[in-house]
Amino acid sequence: MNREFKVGLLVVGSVVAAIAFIAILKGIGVGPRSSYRLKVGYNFAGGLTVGSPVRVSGVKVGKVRGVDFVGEDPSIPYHVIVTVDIDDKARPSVRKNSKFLINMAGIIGERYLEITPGSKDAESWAEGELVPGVDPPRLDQLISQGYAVMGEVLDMIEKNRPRIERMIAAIDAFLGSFDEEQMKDVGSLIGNLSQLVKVLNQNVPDMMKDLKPVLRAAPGMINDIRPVLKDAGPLMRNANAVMMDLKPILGDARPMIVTARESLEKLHKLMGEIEKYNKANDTSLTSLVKQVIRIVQNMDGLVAGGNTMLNNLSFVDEQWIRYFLQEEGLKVYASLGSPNPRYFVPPPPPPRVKAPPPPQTQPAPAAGKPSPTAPVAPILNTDEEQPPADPPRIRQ
Amino acid sequence: MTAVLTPFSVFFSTIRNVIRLFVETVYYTFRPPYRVQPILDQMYWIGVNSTSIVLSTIAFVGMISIVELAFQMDTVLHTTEFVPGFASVLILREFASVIPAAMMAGKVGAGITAEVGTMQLTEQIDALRLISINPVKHIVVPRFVASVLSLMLLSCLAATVAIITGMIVCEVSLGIDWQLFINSSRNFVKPVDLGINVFKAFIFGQIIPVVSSYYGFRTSGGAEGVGIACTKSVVYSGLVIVILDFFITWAASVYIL
Repeated sequence: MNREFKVGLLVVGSVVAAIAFIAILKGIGVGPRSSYRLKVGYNFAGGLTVGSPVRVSGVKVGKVRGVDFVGEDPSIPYHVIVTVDIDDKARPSVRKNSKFLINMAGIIGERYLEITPGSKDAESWAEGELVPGVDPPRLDQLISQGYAVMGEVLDMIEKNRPRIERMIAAIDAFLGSFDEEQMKDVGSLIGNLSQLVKVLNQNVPDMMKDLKPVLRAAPGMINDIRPVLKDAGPLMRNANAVMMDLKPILGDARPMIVTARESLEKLHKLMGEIEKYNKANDTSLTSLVKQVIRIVQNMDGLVAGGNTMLNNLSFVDEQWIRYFLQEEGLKVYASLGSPNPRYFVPPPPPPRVKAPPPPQTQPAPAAGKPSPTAPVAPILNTDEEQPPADPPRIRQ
Repeated sequence: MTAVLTPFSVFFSTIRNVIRLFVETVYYTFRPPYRVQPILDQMYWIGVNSTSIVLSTIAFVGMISIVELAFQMDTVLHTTEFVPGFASVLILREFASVIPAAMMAGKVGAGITAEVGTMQLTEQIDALRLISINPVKHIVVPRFVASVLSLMLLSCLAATVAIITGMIVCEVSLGIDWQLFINSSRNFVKPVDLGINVFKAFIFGQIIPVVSSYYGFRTSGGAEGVGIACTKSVVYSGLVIVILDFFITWAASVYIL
């Protein structure tokens, strides 16, 4: 083992190490693998580069061979064509209803092209066909547009702030006009009312039921009385029979009368309480009820206004939101995208619907008694507002 | 006044003379007649004899880089998923060329300076000039070529050894087996990293013999002079290696991503 041999050994060993290094880097087992080529169209490639892996159901089966711009061809509705090589062993899993997504491996991972396996009965893709790709979500756009949307929501709240404040003040005043005692009285009033109704419900049908045989028997009675007038003897007999008929009825009627009396007493008590309440608070229950009705009508107006708002916003569907985000994102990141998206023109929003007029408020309470709450102004008077600007059009 | 300016003039004249020697060496490398045997002899002395020290050092450097990167990544990212990739790239781009070059600057540079300095002191260089043999072509060129080739080959070996020892440490302390090491570092390591490694070795391999021969040719004053010359050559060749390493790394990271 002389010196030159050792020099030769050093040279050979280093070269072998370098070659093995590169072989391991490129991946061992890169034999002649048969693969087929597809073209996938995207509008946003999301960081895919040449050499990015292609996975079907999470298994690496190929590579991205090229990422090219489409250029001036107007028949292709995409901006970027990604050429991929897929192994033939994965060919049966890639069908026409597979989705070609761009995913990210991990948090700081590289981008790869994920193909979801299609159903087994759909047809396969032929070699070299143009496949529609699913653009990856633009989280950066979403975040920046989130800010814009929040700003507009806050603007709307600011514009309607006095009306919102008035609404809240009215509700507050209505609730505040009751103190504890009155709330309790109203509660007991309602309780007594319901009890009265219950008692009446229970007893009136029985009363009617028991009255029916009496009414049915009455014509018979009259017919019987005629021959009685002719014949007194049988009259006495018939009167007895009539008395016999009436007895059970009278027997049933007694507890009925007792309960009716009790109900009447309760009704009197109720009326007394109402009068007490009226006297104590210098107000009338009717005016209170009228205020409640007025407020409910105003709420109707509010709901109508809300309905109008929703109708005016009905053009905001998923497509429109997507257009808005894309267009806004291209505005923000102007250097990264085309200012003229070809792929979607949103429908114009429908004409603005006039809100129904707010319901007429009830006339002021009678006898000059001031109502406890100030009259509530109509909420969201949409007649006064200017219609908002149309959503941004495409810049041509 | 001149006393203040003297170090600067010495500095600039040294640089000028070293560059002049370098240009001469490159010129005489490509000028016939070519002598292959001295180159092979020198490759034995420079390359083969440095192998053991270079590989031992770089083995530990590989382990150091894995452990240090795992510590930092765990602190920052709370995951050691990217340690193989980052460590492989760091070894290839930095350590596998600089550490062997520094080791060789010490071992081979001191040897060349001592040898050439002793020849200068015993007037063998003057004797060569007398028989019209250019001392640069006769002495410097074989060592130049041998040094460049040896360092390039040793860098490849060093990268391999460092990554192998890194794999061992990964398996022991991080639980990443060698297949996972290779697969996860494949995302980060590109063939251009090996190219950067070899290119750096190419540059450093030229610095060591040139600077060492320069100080060897200017030896004077006996054994003490030889010692001083050896010290200077080792120190300055190491310094130039690190400075050039900075520039190459900066260019590689900005322009070759």
